[in-house]
Amino acid sequence: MNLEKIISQKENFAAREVNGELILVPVKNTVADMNEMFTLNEVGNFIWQQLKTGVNIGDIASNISEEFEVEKEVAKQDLIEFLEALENFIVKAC
Amino acid sequence: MLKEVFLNIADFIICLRSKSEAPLFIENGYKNFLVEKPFENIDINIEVFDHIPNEILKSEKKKIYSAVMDDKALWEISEAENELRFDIFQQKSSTEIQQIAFCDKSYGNWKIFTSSIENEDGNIGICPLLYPMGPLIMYYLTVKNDAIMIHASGIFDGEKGRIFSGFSGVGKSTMGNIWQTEGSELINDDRLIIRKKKDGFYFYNTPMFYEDKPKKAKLDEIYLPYHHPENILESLNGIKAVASLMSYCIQHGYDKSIISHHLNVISQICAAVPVSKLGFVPNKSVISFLKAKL
Repeated sequence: MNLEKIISQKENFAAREVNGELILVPVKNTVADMNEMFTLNEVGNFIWQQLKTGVNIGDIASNISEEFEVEKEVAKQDLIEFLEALENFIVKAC
Repeated sequence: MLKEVFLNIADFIICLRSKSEAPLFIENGYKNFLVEKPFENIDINIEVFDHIPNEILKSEKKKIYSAVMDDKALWEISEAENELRFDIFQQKSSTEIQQIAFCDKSYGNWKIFTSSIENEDGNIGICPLLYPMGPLIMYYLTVKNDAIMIHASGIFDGEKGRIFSGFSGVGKSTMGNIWQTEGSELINDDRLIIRKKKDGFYFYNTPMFYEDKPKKAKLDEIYLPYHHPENILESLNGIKAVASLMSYCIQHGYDKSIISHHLNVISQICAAVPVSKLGFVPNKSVISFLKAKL
């Protein structure tokens, strides 16, 4: 994954924070689609907040490393895994 | 001649007014919810018209949401300037329009244009809340207040109000029947409104296709049941509880503010009322199992 890639939140979600974790519910136009939603743990929530404005993947990894006191390489791998799982759903390239 | 009827649903007041000569029919399921003209505020005002004008039928609209089941259109919502439009299809044909309704963005003021129908006594009249119009209005009643509508059965056992929420087949009705057989009051076994009041959350039945009296109970416990070889309970907290209840909440998610409303109310419910996954054996053993829990 290109660490220079600029990404941000997709806009069509309603979000609610509960005890540091986050639930994201997509805006939909049919009843059938309504059961899709995402829950993010504290780290996922931190990443989501970073994505409010366009930011590059390398910078997010650095911020995670600093915030959660983990090795940058570990943060980078976890972030890539997170983004690969959710890239098409909640995150968009800028 | 002005006809005016009032309904009390979940302690909300709905007023239906018609100037039409045609008799105003109220489906049987609503009859026990009719009340005298109340002193308190009206929550939803509905003006009823006895035909659907061609210019409305043929007018352009921007569809934003549709309910389709088995490729059959049930109803759809369109956006117009400062109001929402609801096109309700006949349940048999799914192409013929049964009602067209408009409501303002506060969801408090509605106009329903409806064709005349013949009721079971052979009389011709208008039935503005004919399914699914009634439940749609009830849904928007919750959206404009601290309330949600949810797929759930609910009982009051004389001490506690308990609801069992989940999709079709998880055992909501089974659970309702077990408790009712053992003497609890069944509030409803399919759909409830949960509403925030000054002293906590209450759950209410809503008019169904059959007759029932209005019922309510204070909400003490929420269970998410599933069939299991033994009775087991697993407490859910925080985001897991909110996400689970959100799944079973009836919702029209075309608008971020509506989804945010549901998330807000559900978060408050989950902060105030215990939520648990309940694996259960479908017999009365589940009652003593749950009553033994503190």
